[in-house]
Amino acid sequence: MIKKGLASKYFHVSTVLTIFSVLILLNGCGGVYKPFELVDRNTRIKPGSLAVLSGSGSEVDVKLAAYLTQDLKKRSTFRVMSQGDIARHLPGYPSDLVRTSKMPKAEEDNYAWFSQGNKGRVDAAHAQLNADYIFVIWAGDLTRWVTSGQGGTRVDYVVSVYGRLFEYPRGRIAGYSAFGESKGQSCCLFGKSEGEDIDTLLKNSAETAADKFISITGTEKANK
Amino acid sequence: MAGYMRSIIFIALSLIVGACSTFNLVDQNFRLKGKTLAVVSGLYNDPNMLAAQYMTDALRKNSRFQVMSQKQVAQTVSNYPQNIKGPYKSAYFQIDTDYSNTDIKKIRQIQQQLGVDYLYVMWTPTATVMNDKIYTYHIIAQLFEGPSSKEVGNGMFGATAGKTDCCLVPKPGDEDKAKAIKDTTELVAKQIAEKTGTQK
Repeated sequence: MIKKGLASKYFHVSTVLTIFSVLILLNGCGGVYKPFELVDRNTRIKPGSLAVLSGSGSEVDVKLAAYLTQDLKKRSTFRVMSQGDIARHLPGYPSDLVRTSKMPKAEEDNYAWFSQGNKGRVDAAHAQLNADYIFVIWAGDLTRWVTSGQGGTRVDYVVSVYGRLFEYPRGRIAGYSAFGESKGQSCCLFGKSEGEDIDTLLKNSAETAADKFISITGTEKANK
Repeated sequence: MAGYMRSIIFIALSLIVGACSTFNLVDQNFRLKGKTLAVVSGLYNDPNMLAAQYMTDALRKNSRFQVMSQKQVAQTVSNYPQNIKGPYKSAYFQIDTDYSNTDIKKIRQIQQQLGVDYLYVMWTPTATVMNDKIYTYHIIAQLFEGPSSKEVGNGMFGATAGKTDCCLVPKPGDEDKAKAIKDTTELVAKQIAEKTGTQK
């Protein structure tokens, strides 16, 4: 009997689906494309220290967090903690200690909400990290779409990305991410692996979130 | 037409998964050097731990190896289970194998702590679901011989719950998924016993 949620996520494999379905996924599960938005448009985000936390220990979440950290460190005026620094402060990180997989759907649908249990975990992490902002990022689904037609077969990878920006010391949700990103398959020929395509997809997703985050918060580095 | 295509693709996928070699000896002239063995979960996730437990049971039942219990393994290895770098470059929809990628230093350390002649390490890095109905855990494993933890065998296989993606068939539940892991480990254990010459 498998009691707990998976540390490794299920990855969805779908075949012969319509373009419409792909578009729905690209727009996030709820038909939304919001790489980053503020909950309250009047909120002013002050540059300070920021820690990006991987929602779980799964490779997809870990990579999203690493790429977003890298982007924000390079391009924003925030003092962004490295993933290594975070791991030194939080024993066992990255793992399910930030966000358990037991109540994901509501958190994916209600952008200004985080379950009490998971919020408690983020607060506990903040107590160790002491950053002004905590950005939790995770992937909802990673899907491989195989579409067959007269022109042949096409393979696309699609990921749904979710995030929450917590502002401290108040500990409230200041912003969120909910969007989908896709990449056509280039792998499996010329010795390239599927992992490289998915890696690129995750890198692009983090970049998309970082672009919007930096533009909305007005924290772009002058010497980009 | 869509259903027809789905079936063809699913059959093709099944053939690919079915064609995976569940256990192979690295050297065909392998000769058994000892009889104690421990199964180790290479990742800290529930399906992996479950697979290690079922493989322990299956090897006890089907081989003449003296197999250490998972409880003993947990008591002897500090922080067990822990994430050990495994024999793959990536693992999303399939495992992209690279048997040289394993953290052999860590494996050697664990084998020395356990003091067993053979260490069978399993990784379940990914699981896929097809049309919400067919669940597959992708598993890769290596058999090491002590005390230097030389790789003497390896294999890759899938444990699949759900036979069809037909809309009338219910989704497999946790028990179906656990049973898929149990049945698969039973088959693989028989192969290991056969190829290492330890059948009961």
